[in-house]
Amino acid sequence: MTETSKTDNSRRKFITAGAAFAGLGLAPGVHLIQTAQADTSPSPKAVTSDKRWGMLIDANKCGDCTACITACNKEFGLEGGQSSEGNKARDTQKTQYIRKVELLNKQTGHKLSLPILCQHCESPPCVDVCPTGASMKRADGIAKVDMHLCIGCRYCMMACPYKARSFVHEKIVDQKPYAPRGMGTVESCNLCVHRVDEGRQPACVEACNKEGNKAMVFGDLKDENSAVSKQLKKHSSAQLRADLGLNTGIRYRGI
Amino acid sequence: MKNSPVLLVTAALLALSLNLPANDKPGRHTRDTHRQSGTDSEHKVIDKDVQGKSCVRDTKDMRRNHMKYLLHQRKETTRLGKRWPKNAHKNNFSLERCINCHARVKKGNAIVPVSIKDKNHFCNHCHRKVAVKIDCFQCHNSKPTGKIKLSGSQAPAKNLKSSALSDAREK
Repeated sequence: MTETSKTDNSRRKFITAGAAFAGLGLAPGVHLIQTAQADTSPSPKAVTSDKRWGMLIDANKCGDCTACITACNKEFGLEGGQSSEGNKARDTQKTQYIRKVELLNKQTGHKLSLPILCQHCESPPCVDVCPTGASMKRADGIAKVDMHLCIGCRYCMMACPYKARSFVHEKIVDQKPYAPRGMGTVESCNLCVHRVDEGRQPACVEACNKEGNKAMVFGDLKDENSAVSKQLKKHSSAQLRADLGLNTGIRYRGI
Repeated sequence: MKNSPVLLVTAALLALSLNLPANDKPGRHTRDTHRQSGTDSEHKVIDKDVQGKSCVRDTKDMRRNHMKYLLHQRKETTRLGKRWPKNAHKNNFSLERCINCHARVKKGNAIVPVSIKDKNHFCNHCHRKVAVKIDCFQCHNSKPTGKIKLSGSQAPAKNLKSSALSDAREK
């Protein structure tokens, strides 16, 4: 018993002395990674379902303007973006995160032109059908493609009732750093998620209010005081294909 | 403490060995200085990272673990919407930051950032050698899009401001 305690003591002394010297050697240099890289900035928080991003588009104001499309193409480098083979896409699967659709009332001859983009459904069919989990909806209601997981099967394109998604057929280079896109994956409007996370508005909405006819309002549908919620409360609005019960985040006036 | 001189020597050795990694400058590849810069008829590739002073982690850690850091960041950003402040945080492992900081450029009449197709691209230094194919740049941009500044002897003459450089700045 005494033998053991003796041994323990000497080991302890050795360890203490060693640690003390090691400490002395390290202290002046401050080269320990943890010490050198102590950072006080708070860790960023994940998005939550306290918010739901949405948009109200006034079809009567929209008219012939295409400012939103131009802005979107510029933001994501969709047109004039470089590809190895001249940025060709099949016409039926042409990349267009946002497009204008013309409605004609044959009886009265009344014409409407409204922008259609991903409707950011509450229960998106594209997410339901995706075999890999690439098609996803963020907690704050933004539906998008996690291209890391996308295998390019295009089930989501078939499932989407709004034809909002497109497929990248050709190799692409010089993408925007905030919006990676590449051959063999499906892509769609992501409500300019990189802008929204910075507290900015999507490119189309910004362009509409700056150069266009001020037909688009963007905001948090769950916040009663947001511009979009106030407008929705004041005016009657509609969802596209409301019969599908998808509860879209994009609403329209005047259709 | 009858054997204390031995203890002291051992402790000193231990302290030294622990302190050794400090001499390894983070963010610099010592191997790079011995390499022959790749050249073509018009351009000379500056075979050194031209941006930044130190990496988010030290070189040894990054060589071994960069893929884990990138994967972690990718999941958090893409799926959860967590975004670290740009260029401000030691824990921001975004690929965009890697690319902008570890910028390799060609210097001739114009300063041109090299893409992943160039053997002197930063990622290619190791990945070509160990024959590990990277998929990142099928979707991500492999060229720096931030402001490119050349320091010291690498800096070009002032009147050589080229359209290629201003292009890169605008992006």
